[in-house]
Amino acid sequence: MFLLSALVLTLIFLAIGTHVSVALGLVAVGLALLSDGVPTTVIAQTAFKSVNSYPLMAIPMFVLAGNLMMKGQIANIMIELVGSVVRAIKGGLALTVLITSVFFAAISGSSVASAAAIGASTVEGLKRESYPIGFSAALVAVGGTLGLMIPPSLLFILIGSIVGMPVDKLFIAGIVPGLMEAVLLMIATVYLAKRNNYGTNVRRPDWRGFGKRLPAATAALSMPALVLGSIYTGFLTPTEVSAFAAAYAALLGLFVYRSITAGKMWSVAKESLLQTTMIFTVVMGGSLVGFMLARMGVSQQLVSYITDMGMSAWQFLLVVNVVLLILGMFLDGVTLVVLTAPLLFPIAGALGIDPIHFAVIMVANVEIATLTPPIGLNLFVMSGVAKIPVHEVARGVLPFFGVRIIGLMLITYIPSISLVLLR
Amino acid sequence: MFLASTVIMLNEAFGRALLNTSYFWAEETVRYLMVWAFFLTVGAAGSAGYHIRTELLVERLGKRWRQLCHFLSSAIGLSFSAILFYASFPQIYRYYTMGMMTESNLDIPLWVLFLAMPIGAVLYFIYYFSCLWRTLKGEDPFAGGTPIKIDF
Amino acid sequence: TELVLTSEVATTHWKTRYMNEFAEQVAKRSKGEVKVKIFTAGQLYNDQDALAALGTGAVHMVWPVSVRIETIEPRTGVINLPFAVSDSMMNNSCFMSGLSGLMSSYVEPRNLRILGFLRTADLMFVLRDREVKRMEDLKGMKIRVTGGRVFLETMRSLQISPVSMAASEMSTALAQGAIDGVFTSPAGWAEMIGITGKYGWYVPGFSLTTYSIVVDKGWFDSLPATHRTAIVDAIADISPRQWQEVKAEDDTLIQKMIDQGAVFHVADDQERARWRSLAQKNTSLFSERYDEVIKQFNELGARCGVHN
Ligand code: NA
Ligand code: NA
Repeated sequence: MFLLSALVLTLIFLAIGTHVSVALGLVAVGLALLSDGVPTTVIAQTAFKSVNSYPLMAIPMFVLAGNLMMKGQIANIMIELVGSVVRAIKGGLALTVLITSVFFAAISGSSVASAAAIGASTVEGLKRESYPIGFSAALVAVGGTLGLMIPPSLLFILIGSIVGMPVDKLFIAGIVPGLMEAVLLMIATVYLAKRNNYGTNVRRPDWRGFGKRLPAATAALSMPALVLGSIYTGFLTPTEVSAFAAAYAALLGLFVYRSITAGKMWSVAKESLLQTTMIFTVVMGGSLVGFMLARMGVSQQLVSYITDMGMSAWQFLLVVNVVLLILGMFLDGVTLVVLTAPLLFPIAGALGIDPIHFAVIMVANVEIATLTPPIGLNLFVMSGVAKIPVHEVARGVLPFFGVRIIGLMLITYIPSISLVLLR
Repeated sequence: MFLASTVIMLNEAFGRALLNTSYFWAEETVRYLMVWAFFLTVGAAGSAGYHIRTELLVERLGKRWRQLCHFLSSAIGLSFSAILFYASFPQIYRYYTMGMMTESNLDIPLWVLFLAMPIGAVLYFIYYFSCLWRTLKGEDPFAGGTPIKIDF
Repeated sequence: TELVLTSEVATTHWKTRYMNEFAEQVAKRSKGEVKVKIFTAGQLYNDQDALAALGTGAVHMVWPVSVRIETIEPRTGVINLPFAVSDSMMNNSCFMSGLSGLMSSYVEPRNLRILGFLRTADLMFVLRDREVKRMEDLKGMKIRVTGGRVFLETMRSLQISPVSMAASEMSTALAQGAIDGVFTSPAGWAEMIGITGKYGWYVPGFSLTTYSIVVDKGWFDSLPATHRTAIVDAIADISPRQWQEVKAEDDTLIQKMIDQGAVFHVADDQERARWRSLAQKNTSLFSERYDEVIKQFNELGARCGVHN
């Protein structure tokens, strides 16, 4: 009973605009005070250990690496490089944007940062080639979400450290689903461009231009290869790779592309630290709630309730997808994961679902959540970049939404898409 | 601290990958540096508008109701940081009486490292106190926290 | 009364089985008055955090690997020294209870109590592509280890480079050649690594690791005598039996690996003596600092008529 009041209280706190971290924290405190045999000091213990985790340490450094790469001209260089050949087909510029999104997804751990970086340098260009602005903004917003699935991914790090799973395996698991989603999006884009006559400015492939631009882009292009390669071969742990990626991005920015000065470095580092703190506070609040639910035996009861119901794995996955899609409309990605992972993973395990596969399903849901109104961060970002209202971006996203659902279903019901590289 | 931990991690990565040496203290150092960096910036992140919140409902309310929400939100933040502060002392005292040290050969008592929490809680408290103060003066204490700063 | 017992290993690990049995026995022996609540798989705490929480009222009992207690009281490291204990010593009830008392006396000033020990495993080397029959064969290898300082020193004096790495990563790292071997338990060999680690090298007693049964002393002492007896008796019943069952299981697992084509060598007495004398040199740092601990430990062995 008082669990229900706790839930209602949480929702009220969130609705009145309380910071997610303290809202969750205070609800956990309330549960601790009302339970027997739980001293208040568990709040301090749990809050401390929730951020004192080695896998979590990859987050600040991947954030820093991503932020450094987003500065300056790297997005333009990539778009020109890809565009010089891809624009030979109708809708080519839109495809170029998607391919560049895949590249940014492979260097950045988040979805918003890459959407912002790509959006700034493409929305104008798309407009000139008769793409409606709503479509362009939606395209960048949708492409940005690939950053969550294609490694490195802050979400996988978060899931790995909350549930206690190897982050390197999660990263590897995200590669094929991420590429599959990208291909689905590209097919949809070409179809939409054909049907609506977008991107009429078709050029002949400019291989010479491609060759000329390639050397400048090589340094940036090699970064995803190095990051993925060293994780895939087990050469470095994800946390070590994150430090390496940050250093590499700093070198690129300072010496190769000269997109950043040493003084600017400092402010980017500061910004990255504050973003990390923001993520960690939510992790802290979520862990407190998760701890109390485990301590009160709620997680255990939920597991036996579901298994006693005789629910099969596929039914459970369907329910999870529906619930996450609905929750995802209102919650941001970090909160969604931090709140649901501790409850859902034990059930998935009890039903014999591979936890790595389940983590990929979760990430696919969060990708969609960043695109669904009313709270969809990529919608907000693109509304800011393209200077159009949020609902116009959302309308543009609508056709892609179907594609995402198809992708989600494929990922959910074909486990080998996620697990093939791990066998 | 953040940059220092990046450098140590980098050193560890190169050491392990290229020179076959592994520093058992590196992992622990990086962790505790980041934990301290986190607690020391938890208030600053608030002032800079980085903490996640939902404005959806609040921004549709009238001024008076909105100020009430801000007041409650500040009060919730204040209570949580106060409890965090209060709850950290039994654990610090227990670490102290137990004499537990770090696991690697860093040899730092854990009660010292745990001090990050009460310090962070004070900074958190100060931040929410300023929010409360600004609410009472009729300002919006949470203005400027744009979703663009959210990195997911 | 509620007894909160936490553990970081998976619910499927055999340790959970013994925890469940402990819960049942305590309930029965206390006529249902002490209720043991078990939280496995790190749901509440990993073992290190749980140790730190003993005494705050959040947790009452933990069964961590004994090495972890060294972070609280370095003198307890005596049980983790190479060749400190053997299966036959721990099967001697005089020695087993004496050792619990001795180790407990070191942590009691810290408001903790040690009620007994369980067998974790007698660790061994598992190599990918090099057959090992004597200590020289290990020279220059990169080996994943966990363990205390004396142990690391011993590894280094064998010119092994010890690598610290999460258990979840070691199998991949070994398969890809990032490391040459791991120092692990028979269960680790059979269940996590498999035949990728084709060569086994076992020096009996070199690193026989244990779980310590640690309880919050203040809480325990405040229990009525009947409750304390229920807990102590349950452990006295489970611990010696567990020791033999787990030893037998480990032997089965090694045999299973041999059946799959693994090459397994055990150090003979002469080779074992060489390992002992090498380990001896590295223990000197411990014995210089805690001479009285070594003395007490040896006296206990003499009193019970066992030695390694
Ligand atoms: Na990514
Ligand atoms: Na949403």
